Amino acid sequence: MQAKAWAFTRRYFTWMSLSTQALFAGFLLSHQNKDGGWGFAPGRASWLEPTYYAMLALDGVPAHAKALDRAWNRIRSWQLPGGGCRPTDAVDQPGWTTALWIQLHCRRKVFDGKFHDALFWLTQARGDEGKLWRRLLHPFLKPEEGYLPERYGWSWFPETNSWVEPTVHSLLAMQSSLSHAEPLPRLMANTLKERVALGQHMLLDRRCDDGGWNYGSKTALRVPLPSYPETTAIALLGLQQASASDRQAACSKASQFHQQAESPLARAWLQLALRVHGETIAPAPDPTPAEGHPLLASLQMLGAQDGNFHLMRIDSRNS
Amino acid sequence: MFPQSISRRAFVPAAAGLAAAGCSARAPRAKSPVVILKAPSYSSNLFETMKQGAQLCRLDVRGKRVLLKPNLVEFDGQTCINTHPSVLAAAFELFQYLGAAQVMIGEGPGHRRDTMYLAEAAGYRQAVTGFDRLFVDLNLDDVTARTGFLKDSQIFLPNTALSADLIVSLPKMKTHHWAGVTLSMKNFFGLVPGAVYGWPKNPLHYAGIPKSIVELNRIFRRTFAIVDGVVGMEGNGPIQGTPKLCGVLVMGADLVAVDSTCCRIMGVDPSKVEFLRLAAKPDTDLGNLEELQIDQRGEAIGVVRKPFGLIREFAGLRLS
Repeated sequence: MQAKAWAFTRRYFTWMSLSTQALFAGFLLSHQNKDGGWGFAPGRASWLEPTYYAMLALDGVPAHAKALDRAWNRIRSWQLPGGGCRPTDAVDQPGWTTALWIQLHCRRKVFDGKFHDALFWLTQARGDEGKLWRRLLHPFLKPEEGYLPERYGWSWFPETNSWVEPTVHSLLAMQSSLSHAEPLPRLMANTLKERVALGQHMLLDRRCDDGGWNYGSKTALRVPLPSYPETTAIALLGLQQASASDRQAACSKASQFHQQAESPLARAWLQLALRVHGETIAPAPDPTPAEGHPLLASLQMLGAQDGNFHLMRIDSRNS
Repeated sequence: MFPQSISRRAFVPAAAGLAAAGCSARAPRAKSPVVILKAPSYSSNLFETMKQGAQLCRLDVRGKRVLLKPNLVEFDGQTCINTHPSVLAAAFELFQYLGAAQVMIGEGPGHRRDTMYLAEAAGYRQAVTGFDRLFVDLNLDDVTARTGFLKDSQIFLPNTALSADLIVSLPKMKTHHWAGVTLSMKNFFGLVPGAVYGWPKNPLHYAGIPKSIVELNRIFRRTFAIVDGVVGMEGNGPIQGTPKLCGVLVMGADLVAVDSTCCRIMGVDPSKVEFLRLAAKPDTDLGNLEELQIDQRGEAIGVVRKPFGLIREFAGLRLS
């Protein structure tokens, strides 16, 4: 049924010669689940991550308001009693997607008790290497280069190490909260600022020798690891408030990846991150929505010239 | 890090039951057939070779839903990280030929998020007709909680893997810088969903790689293995090692026996590989490790043995 709806939408928009944005919006709207969320593939269960990106991609168009309200209700339903958020209904554990949930609340300017519970959960979450006993043991464990346990970030799943991607999303969540959720109690604001600084240090510490980012380490058994395009793009999103030289170096590596990367997902993330940093993107043919891939379509839509990439920019007023 | 799912109240009778079961005499495990077949190159007729192996294993998959699980980790055109597309294509043809009701392909790479790009780069989409229709990205599949991981914890696993009647592990014969070797049992790390646990799947490292390998193999018991040992990887595997021409396929239903046989071919002592030792312990009993407990069919190990280079940290694994 959804496939038929999408086929109709595609024909309709092609005939109408509407913009690429409208084409992608049609694709996403036709693949929204009845419960308001999006799955990683059409017809599959809703997950928080693809729903987050679809909501950002569709934001700002009055005709999408109804779909976004349904998605918003779905997003709200994923919070667990402790404040953290599950990634999908089938998982009853909170994890990294809590940071995405907070970002959407900042966008909607909903700063209720649930928001504060989630923010508190995020301040308590940390990469396991940040625990005192790990820090004490660190010098005796043949540490990897650039792996400083006192400069930790966030893990994907509780009680594991810090990694680039969850750290970046948590940084964005905290920076957005500092910018938008005024007034935060001073203690909370100071905690957020402290964690933001630590997380940014972690990202820079773990930059690979080639200038980009692997998933979280720059070496394994002290052998240098190569960077990956998608992780480099995501790291770039988290470095919006880094020094000009660090941002410039990261943008340069991301631009190089953008010209070479064959992975559509990597290219979409790179394009989004480069636009967030105001970089010029080499002109390329407009992509068409990849069949069966709502997450990719959302990223492509967000990173388009007329896309909502600015929603991922951090307002530096308070952070 | 894996959520506890059993209460203390529930634990007492469960423990008593396990203790009672442990008192009963354990029947000796029958010998496990493992087939070694020469496959000098990827242009040889791998389907016919696998067909011969399936006959020697008396493999019957008629009417079953089969999930092929290759080892697709990362792509680097200069080396040989992944299961070769010819091996995947031949296995796909084999299970169709053997009368499986459905043959699907699934993988959840631990290092890259764009699985379809990896499949394209690795040559899978070209090698298997209709690949996109048959393939499931296990990192992004819908999941169900299963208890029994690390005895009293639960783990979320992809529905495609949980609903398969048979999972066919199609690993590359490689050394591994954390586990010593990576073969059919370690290949099950790709069944753990990245969308829940991340990239890489760090909770498995935290629980201990050997333990996690054993626990995943305890959950997924309806299995078969076809190891791509045509060109393996030695040294700093599973990504940064160097290609090693070995010229074999190794097949069998007992994954412990298959991996132990591969170790012997690689010049590694399987009893020194922690996950194999754990898997073969009487209280785990996932399969046979000892050579005497393996019914070796096809080529003899001595004929195909090609000692793989090992990094310094694993030099002690060398078969004496």
